[in-house]
Amino acid sequence: MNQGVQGFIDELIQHGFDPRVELGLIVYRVTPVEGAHSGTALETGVSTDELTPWPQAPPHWIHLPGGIKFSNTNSDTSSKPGWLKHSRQLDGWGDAPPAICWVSHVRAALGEATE
Amino acid sequence: MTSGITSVAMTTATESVLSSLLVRDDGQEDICLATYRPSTGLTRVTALVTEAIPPEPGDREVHGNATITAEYVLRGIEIAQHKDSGLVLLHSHPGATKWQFMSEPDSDTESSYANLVRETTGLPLVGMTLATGNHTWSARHWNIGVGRQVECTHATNVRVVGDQLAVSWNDCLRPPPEATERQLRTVSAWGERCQADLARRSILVVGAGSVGLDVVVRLAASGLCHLTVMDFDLVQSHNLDRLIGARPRDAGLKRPKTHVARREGMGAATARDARIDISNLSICEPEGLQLALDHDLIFSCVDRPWPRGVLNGLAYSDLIPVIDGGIGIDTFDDGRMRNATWRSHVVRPGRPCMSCSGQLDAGEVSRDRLGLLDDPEYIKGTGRSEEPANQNVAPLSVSVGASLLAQYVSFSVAPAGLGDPGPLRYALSTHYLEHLSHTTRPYCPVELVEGVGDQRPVLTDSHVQAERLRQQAAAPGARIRLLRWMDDGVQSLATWLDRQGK
Repeated sequence: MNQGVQGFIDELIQHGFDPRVELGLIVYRVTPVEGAHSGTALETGVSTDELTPWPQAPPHWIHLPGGIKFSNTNSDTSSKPGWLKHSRQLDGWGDAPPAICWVSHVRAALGEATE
Repeated sequence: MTSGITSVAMTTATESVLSSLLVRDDGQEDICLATYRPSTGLTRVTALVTEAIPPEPGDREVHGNATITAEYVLRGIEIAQHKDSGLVLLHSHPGATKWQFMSEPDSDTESSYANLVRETTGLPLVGMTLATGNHTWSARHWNIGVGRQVECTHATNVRVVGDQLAVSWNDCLRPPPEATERQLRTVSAWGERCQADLARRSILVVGAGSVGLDVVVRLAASGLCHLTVMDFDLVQSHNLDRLIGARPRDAGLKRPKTHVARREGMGAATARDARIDISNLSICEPEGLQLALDHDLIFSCVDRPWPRGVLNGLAYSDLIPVIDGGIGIDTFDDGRMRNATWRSHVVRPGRPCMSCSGQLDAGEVSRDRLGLLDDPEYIKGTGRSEEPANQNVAPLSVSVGASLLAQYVSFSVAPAGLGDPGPLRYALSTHYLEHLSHTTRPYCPVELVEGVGDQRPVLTDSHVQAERLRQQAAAPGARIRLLRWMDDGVQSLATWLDRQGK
């Protein structure tokens, strides 16, 4: 059964991502399909603390490099220096595997980046 | 193993497969194997039977009785090891109609494999017997002693979870309570046998607010022998318009809501030796979850996402049905009432989970778990009010309680053979009762972990608010301590007078 931090990592790998553990985050790359960074693979992360209940409850914060800006965001400091964590709620699971739902959610959030 | 109390639970789907392997057309006894996963509570360990291991030709001999071969047991052990599970050895007693204790040959068979199974799987062998006359199950865990000197602990009950909660009872460990004069009308509604079953069920009510308090009182009045109420919150003045039974002095004395629930519940109890245990834990705390695992059925009378998320999970992972519900009140912008809807459903394997039925937002569970719903800085950052919609009024909260209790009666008693009715929603404005049709999402992570028991995903954590309120309740000033002492004295006198009345 895929659950917890390892479950999240395993699922990302299963769906073709290349996650790594770094400073309390699981870091991987996602390519937004719209917005200022459309077509560019961007690093993003999830705190391991938030992954304990994976996949029964999705993480809340999306960790991103500080250079990625939004016109409207509720952010806080990340455990990775130079990064910020942004409040983005995933409103429950859809009809796809949890990791795909999560990545889609992150991709949509990145699509709102202004620079 | 935390103690000698054990039980077994399975779904009707699993039971159906096992029955088909054990009940023979020729009326002979039969035997088979299955896997189980442990679900470890504070005082009780439950074996969750997960999968049958059907016999292959030559795996057993049927000769009136049935004999299992060592090869079949070894194959069963290998499968159990592979699935990180324990092993169950089951056999049937054709025509029998009650809880079965073991004959010498039965005992010899199970004990001869008990040590091998425990050494190889790391879990005690569980033995089960099906009395085929009326489908009564009995069970035991071979968990006492070491080496070849292994003995068994008989289970207190075997629960089968489906449209109904069907419970087989070990009458020696949990004798049927004698119905009292005060239960005549209740017993006349569903009969003595049903009353003896319901009265012995161990029920947990999570949340002792307006709905939970009412549920506790009515369950106690119906003759239940053992109830547990879990809530860490204290009575406050603004609760008094809905906590029917709570007094202004309960708010003044900073009484926990569970104190009121036990007082009112014991006042209404009709069982001769009724017991209401209280816990000031949160179901979100690991210890709270562990306590919940000691129960046969749970009422979810909480509205926060995190505790409902935990209850949603354990209904599947630990096969403990959860009767859940809630109310939503809509108002117009000018404050007038627009509508109210209340919902209720039994959360259990075979029904969509709270998330799939739209009753729980998994994202909100995370925000609640992270403390964001109570974090002023975070709320300020969202740029909007994050105050939860918490309108509730006493004349309607009783309807939620009634809806939950109606689900409980259908699920437990199955009037006219009809059990759990599925999710229900009642709209106040039109007075329309709707049967909701929801389906499970293809990758629902909650229902996917059915019967995993102790291998359940970890949704529990420390709970700051619960810890703060427990400290507050435990450290009152001298004046409150004195007043509590006087209040307890008055309560003791009232209890004594009630006993004289009995």
